[in-house]
Amino acid sequence: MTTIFRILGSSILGAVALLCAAAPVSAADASHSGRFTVGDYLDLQSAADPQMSPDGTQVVYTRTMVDKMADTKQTAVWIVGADGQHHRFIAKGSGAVWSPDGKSIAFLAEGQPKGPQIFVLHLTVPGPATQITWSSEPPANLHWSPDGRQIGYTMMVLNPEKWPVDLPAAPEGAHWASAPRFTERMHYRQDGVGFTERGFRHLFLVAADGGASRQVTTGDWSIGESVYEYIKTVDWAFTPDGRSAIVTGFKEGDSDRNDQDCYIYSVDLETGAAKRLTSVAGGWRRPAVSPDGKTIAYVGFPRNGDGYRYSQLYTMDADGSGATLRSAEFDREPQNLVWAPDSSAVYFTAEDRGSIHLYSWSAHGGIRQLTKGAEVVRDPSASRGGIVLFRSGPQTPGDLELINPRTPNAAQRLTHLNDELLRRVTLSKVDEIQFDSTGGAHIQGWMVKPPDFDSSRHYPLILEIHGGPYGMYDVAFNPAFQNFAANGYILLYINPRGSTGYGNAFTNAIAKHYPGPDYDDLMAAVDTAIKQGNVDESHMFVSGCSGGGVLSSWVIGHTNRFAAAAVRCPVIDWISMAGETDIPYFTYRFFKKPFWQDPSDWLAESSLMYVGNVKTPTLLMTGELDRRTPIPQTEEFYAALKYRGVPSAMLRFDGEYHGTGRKPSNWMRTQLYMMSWFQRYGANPSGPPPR
Amino acid sequence: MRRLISIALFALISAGAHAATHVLEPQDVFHMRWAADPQIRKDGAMIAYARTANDIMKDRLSRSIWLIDTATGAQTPLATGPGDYSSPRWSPDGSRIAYLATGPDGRTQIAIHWLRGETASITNLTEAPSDITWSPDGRQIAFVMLAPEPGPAIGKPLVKPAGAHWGGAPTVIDSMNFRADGQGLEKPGFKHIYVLSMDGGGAPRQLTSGPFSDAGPLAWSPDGRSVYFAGNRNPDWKREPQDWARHTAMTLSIYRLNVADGTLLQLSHDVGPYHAPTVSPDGKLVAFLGYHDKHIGNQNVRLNVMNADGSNLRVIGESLDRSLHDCQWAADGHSLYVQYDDQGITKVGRMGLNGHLEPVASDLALIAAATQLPYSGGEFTVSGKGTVAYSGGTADDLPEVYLVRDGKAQRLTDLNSEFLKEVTLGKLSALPVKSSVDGRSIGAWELLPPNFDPAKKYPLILEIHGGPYASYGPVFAADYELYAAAGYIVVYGNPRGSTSYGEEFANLIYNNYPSHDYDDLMSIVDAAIQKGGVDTDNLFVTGSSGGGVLTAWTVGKTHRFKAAVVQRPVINWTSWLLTSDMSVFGARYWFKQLPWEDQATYWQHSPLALVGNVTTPTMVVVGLSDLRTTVGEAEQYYQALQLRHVPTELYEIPGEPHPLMRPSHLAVQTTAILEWFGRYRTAAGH
Repeated sequence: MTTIFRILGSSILGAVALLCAAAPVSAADASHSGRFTVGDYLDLQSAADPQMSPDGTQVVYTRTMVDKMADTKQTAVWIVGADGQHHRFIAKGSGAVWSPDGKSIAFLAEGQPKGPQIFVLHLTVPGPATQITWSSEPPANLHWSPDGRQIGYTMMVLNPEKWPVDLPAAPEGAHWASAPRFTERMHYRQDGVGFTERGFRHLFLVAADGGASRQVTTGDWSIGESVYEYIKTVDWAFTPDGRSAIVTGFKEGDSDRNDQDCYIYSVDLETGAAKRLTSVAGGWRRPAVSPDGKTIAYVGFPRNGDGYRYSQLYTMDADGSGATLRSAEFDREPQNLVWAPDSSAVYFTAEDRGSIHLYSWSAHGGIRQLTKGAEVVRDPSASRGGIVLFRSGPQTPGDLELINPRTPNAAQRLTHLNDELLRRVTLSKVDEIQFDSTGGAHIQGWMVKPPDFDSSRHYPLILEIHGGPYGMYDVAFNPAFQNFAANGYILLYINPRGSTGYGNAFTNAIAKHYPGPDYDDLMAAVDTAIKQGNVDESHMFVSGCSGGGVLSSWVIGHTNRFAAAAVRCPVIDWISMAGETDIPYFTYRFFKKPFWQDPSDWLAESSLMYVGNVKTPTLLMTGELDRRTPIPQTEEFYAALKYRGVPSAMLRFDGEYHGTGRKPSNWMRTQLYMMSWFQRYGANPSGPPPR
Repeated sequence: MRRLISIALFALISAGAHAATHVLEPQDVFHMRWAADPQIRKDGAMIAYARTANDIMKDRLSRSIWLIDTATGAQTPLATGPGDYSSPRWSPDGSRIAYLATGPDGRTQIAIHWLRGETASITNLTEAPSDITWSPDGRQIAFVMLAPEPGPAIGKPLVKPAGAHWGGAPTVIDSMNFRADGQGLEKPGFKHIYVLSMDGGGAPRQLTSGPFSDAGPLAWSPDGRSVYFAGNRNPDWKREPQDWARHTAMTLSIYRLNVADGTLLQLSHDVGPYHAPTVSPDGKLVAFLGYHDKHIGNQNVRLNVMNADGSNLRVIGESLDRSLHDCQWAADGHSLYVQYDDQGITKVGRMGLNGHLEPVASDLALIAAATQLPYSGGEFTVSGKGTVAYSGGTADDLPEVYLVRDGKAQRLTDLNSEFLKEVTLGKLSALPVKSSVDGRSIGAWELLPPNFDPAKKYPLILEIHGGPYASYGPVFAADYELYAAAGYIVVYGNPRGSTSYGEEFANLIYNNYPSHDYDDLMSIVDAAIQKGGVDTDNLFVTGSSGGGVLTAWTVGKTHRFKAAVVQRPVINWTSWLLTSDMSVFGARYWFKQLPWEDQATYWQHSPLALVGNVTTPTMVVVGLSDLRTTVGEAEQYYQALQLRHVPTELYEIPGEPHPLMRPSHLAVQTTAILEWFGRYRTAAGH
């Protein structure tokens, strides 16, 4: 879930990652023929956020499944033995953490008076979980104090902007219109939330057995990485002596005006005083305190003007001295930092060429890669028993596995969430392709072919483009891609220049030139796919959401080789985007100068300026509530296409923010409408309707 | 037809106060009353009109229908109480009045009132009727109403488990013009003509059909066999620019409908917005409004006359360089009464078929929404005896019913006498202005604060009208009175681009807006300063819609203003053109090419291009349901000002379309604007 919050630091997209990458998978009712249908998506389950007990014998985790009645994803806390035994449901909720003595867990679940609240469950005594907070704003990011007596958490403290005016009182019983909404903040809206009130996220402590909570930090600054405080995961930690908390934040100035800077602070839990530990100006995040309390591992970068900058791994002493870069040669971005229980090493994950792998760093051994191959691992948690993590592959939606860091290839699988579903469907193979593009770039991509692929036949092709643009398509099981392939398409996806996971230079190849070389890579991918001999060249389609909407709308303004397009949640016009999006700084960083000084590259990089070339029938799909690439962007393109008489339709998704598939029914609709549109323009015209 | 835009681009208000020592206060918006839609009976003995007020309980405009005896001036209520009553229309024999009644359920029905006392609602419609028109024998009423259709569909609906609560299905849109300000997404369907029998009662009969929208006003032939209307039955009409007042295509032709069998005959064939047909008393001639469309910024709406079969079509009165807004036959069948704006002042004249124009009435006035700005406008009707009823106003009074008899105008209503007695208003006078650009005369007015002291200096607010093809005139404006009551001199006027000064003057901004209209506005401010009483350290500027465009343009051009409030602006012509409900219109009539063909023109006239120069503290105001100048425009400006660290504030008003509809919102918006100016206003002489 962290992807959606990485927006300032990295991707514009967020939602794309949610849509296309980390999803669990599939199964359907026994009545169908083994194709992976949209209905199978509803049966997929997923595991996340595993936490191993201090003694290494048990793992709690958050399981996600579709609630078919409520049209939502539902989360529950489950527990399983490190031997895979006694796998059971604990409670509806998420984010469970172990007490230091391993006898209790704290987690978040719907409570009174509203929304998520903190609950504690004592595993050694019978009885239900106990609600211990009753706050009006949702608590988040729980940690037990080292002595097990308190739970620390973060929570928004609202301080709404006020503008009292002397409006005469309405007569009793009158129905007057509600007051205007006003703001003087730069960041006053957020995708996934809507319009936001001014507020700051602060650190709180509550006794583990309940009672009044205490606000530790105060003032007009937030614990966390950015101004996007309403929904976010915040990395913070108690120091082992229990006297302080290591947090991230920005209290050096007006956070509303802060673009990328973020610092690590040590907060005195008695006084609330925050001492800055990272002295260099820049973005420093994800602090992890070693169990012996001596060292803080973290990631970050010095302040810079780049569109994107990989964070690097650093360590410093607990007092902030001795900051040392530990990943100088690594050229990948460390995430999910976890200390070994003996403080000898830091484990982390990093994107690498379509996979996400587990790595370790130690003072003696430097950085070592622990997992290998075409797979994705997430959410590592370490304790005496080893490392538990989530692992997924092209045809495996993913389960929790336990590995020994010394023998990382021998893993023990703890869950079997989708085995029955996988038994009833035939999945498509995911074939890697590699090819050269312009400027000597070497590009990686994948083709997902229909499960009954016949090499003597030709198939319609969908080029699906990821967003970000600073993001990475990976090899993890992708239900959308499997569903397209099951409906008879070859699904082509690649990581064009600008993608992460291939090094800083590759990612920044689109700096001040987006779209640019990424277009060449996409076309080279299509040429490569055609060369394999099974693509029906007169029925090729292009699609993408967010950054993928930018590029798919760009593609049809630069070539007529596609029979139809499905442009989802796009940016069409960068100048208007800059004023409409919830991420203005991120948008300005794509360009050399503000548009009032020089609009030329803002215009030259906008798909709208090429709409005069478009002949491709285009379906536009965007969420009504989107605050990232708001619907006026879609409307601009739609009006231009209509004006030019290009066949086009606009689908406005009810209740969706950025992306069109957060609600399960809308996920299915996204797939079906796209394939219905492609069928209208010649894909498998006499075949069965998409399913 | 230009007026569509102007109506579209603004909004209305009203105000009031107590004790003559008292100045106007924001809550006075709930105390004001005004007259609209005066309908004089054929014999001239009675006038029905809509008495209008801001309902303090519902926070909405509410109308009731009253009758005036023109001999005595006595008034009696016809339809009042909870609900909204409008569009009174006399039956040909004068014994009945049909009107529209909107009940608490929000549905609008046609009701009939018999002067002998009874009232009955005679329909049970699910869509709102409009343009109700009696047949000559008084036995039928024709009207226009939406015939709903299923919306576009793509793909198959999903089957969900019984009892599940799934998210709603996506909205599918496949038409060019798919929304309308004040309405939202257009309801799928087409407007058609219906007829209702007064004798048999029962359900109305639909007379026209097909995938085309037909437009009122309607006109019956004297023999009752035909109804004339305007429509566009060209298969490609959906991609035509829209007429926002009627939600039909801009290109309209006059049709004759055979009431018995529904057959249609197209009578006019020229390309242009031809509309408002009216039949001569003898049934031989049809007069209508419109012009040959040259697809430029502004054209005069002309009077056209043809034989009832469409032959011998000619334009009447071409030497009058003004746009006509209404035409009604005189009883003699040799002339028509027409309404037009002349240098900001709305007038009624009688135009002979030879083109000769004779003045009849002047100083008409109209309030169309919650905001009260001094836009030109008015309404009139003429009796069979040639007496003319109209809504008229002055600098000191809201619209009232006036009657012209024997060449003399007389006010028949006095709806605000008690209220205005307690209020000291500002003093309005014409302000002579020569443009610094080319020495042209620019129409302008200055409102001095109540109890103005010539020995003192006052801060000044320049308020700019929208449109841009519209005009202001010397009439009461509650918004301005509230500014004046707070101690400001308010100046306003008609820079180039404004209507009512001739086609050439209006088109000076065609494909060139904003441009020298800005200089004209500065000339207005300079003239006010020269006249005296202005504290030149405390100049402020605001405007809505087109006035928002020019306000944002102004702060990008000069630093002479202390603070600004940009209301409902276009900030970026490219994004506006492609997100507004006037998308196709803007592309066809305001620019010569499309944004991707001639981006330079779009960008060079966008206030956003000048935001790098702005240092003036600027508040940005927009209604959250505005589909004319969409919220994204205001957001773009706000965000850029924020990035540049210019003091700014975004003020978003829930539920409001382009014109402000809620009186309470007018009151709070005015206090907010005054407070924003107050933050930056310094004491005179400092």
